[in-house]
Amino acid sequence: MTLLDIRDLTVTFGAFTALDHIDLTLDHGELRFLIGPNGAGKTTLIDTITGRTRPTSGTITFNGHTLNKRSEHHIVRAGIGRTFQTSVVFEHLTVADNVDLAASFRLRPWQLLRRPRTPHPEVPDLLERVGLTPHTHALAGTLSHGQRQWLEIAMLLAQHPRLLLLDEPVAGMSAAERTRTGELLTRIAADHTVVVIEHDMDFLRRYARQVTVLHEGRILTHGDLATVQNDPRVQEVYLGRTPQETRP
Amino acid sequence: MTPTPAPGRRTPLARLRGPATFLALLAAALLLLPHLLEPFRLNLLTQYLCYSIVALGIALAWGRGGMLTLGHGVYFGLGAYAMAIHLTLAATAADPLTRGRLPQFMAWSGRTELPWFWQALTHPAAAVTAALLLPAALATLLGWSVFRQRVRGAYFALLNQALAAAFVILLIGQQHLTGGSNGLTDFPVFAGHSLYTPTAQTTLYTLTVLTLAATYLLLRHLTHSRYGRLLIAIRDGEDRVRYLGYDPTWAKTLAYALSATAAGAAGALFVPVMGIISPTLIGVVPSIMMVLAVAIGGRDSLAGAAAGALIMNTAQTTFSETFTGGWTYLQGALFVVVIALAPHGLAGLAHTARAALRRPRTPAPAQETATAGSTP
Repeated sequence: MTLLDIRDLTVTFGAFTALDHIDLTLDHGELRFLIGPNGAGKTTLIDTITGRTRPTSGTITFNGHTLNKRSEHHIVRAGIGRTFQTSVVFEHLTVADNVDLAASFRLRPWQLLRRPRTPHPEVPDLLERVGLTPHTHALAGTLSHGQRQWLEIAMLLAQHPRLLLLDEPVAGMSAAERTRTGELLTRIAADHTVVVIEHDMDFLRRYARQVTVLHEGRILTHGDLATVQNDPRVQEVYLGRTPQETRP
Repeated sequence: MTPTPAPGRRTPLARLRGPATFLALLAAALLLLPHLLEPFRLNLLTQYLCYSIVALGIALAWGRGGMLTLGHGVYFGLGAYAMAIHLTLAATAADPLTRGRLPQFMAWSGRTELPWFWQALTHPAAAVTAALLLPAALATLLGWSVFRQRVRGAYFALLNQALAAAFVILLIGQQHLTGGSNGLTDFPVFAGHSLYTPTAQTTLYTLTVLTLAATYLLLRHLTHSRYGRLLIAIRDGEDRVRYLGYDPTWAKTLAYALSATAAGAAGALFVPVMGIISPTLIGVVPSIMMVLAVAIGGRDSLAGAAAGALIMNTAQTTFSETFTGGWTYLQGALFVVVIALAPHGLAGLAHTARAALRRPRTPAPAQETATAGSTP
């Protein structure tokens, strides 16, 4: 069953075409990796789905509703959550309050004005899931880079999105942190629809199932990891630019 | 699940915060000070406390919500002028020479009847309502239209500043309606009571203290609610907040409007205490002074902001009594020192002192609480 349906999506910035007639469908429960060299349009695609960038033409349909021209918070309320390449958590709030704020987004304004006696009931469980329980009452500003990414994932899960868009969740992480994030991702993917943008080939080999390759704003190919890896066009796109590593 | 530090662990400074201190301060302010201070000093203190009310509002809008409002003189002025117009009407009605006629400045400029907005403020209740609602309405209108367009930071600050400048130009230009640059003055009566008696001054003082306390309690409640956290989140990452499913527009507009309302209330209290309102009291420079007081007191702390206004105004009087003119330089120096050495103001210094006091007695209490939290 289709959750997200992108038809003929084009995004241009002046003379530059960031996305060029993209068609993409995503089914319920899928875990999809989105790869491609720098400037391929991966982040633009996520930005366009989440309302940060407006499509020049084409339609984005989510769960039967078209998302074009809806503002960011309405898209979140429709059930699409995202993280950013550089994690943004609220440094002057505690870890628990960050998650609590994320979990409370469906409260009405006057409910937000009340003084909460207890944090949102899901907060302890979510922090447990991402392994941040020992830091419950620490200010988010004191967390390490990896911990911030996990806090962002906890905040995302707190909102019960139908679709999660993760923009480079392991960028800048240590090997141990990558493994932990990969396991977390596998568990999340069991009961969520997830799109992951990732550059890291090793991470991809370990956790990716379905992969879509973007190149210069177009979809180059799509399939399971082995097929995509053996596709000569993909090899050319990657090897033609930077050998071995995909990141410059 | 929510571990609170054990009472024995609290430092002397930490113990100073809380309802007991609040009540003690309130009782001292209401019961002791009116007897201790001579009427002139009590009158000055009342004026300072009016600025403390403004400071509380700015601490909410700027300290929590990150909206640097360099035009709060406008909201203060709207409250003040609403009250001043009413008091002028009351004075005109009470004076046997002008009874039933127009206020003198209006008659001199050739007007023959009261403008509609003067007529609307004839009743004391109407004046009080207008002093609260006009600032709220203007701030809501401005806030909503500006925040919706995602105008923020320096642009928002400049817009506010321009508003203050425009307001002053309007007041001076419409001399026949507003008294021009002379402003409005001479307010002997309010709702049938003389304002010149010592009792009236004490009553005004009491009212101001109670308004300050109520404003503090209301805003303190808000800062401890989820809405308070949302404001901090908006201050630190407005775009990120949108991706949490919140619309920052209403949250910011509410904080801005509340802070404008507080300024309006302060303005209305200020007029009968000060006995005059004029454009020089509410223009660009006074607006900046209001923000400055909050910066010195500590914009992260409501109590700090209120104290900042009190201290800065007291210092202004004390120093300008001793060496006239020197105050401006001293004020500038004070501001530089605070920004350079204590960017979180006096409240920030108190916070640092508290943390320093806590450290030697209990090693790493933060870690203990964290561990306690992790065990189910």
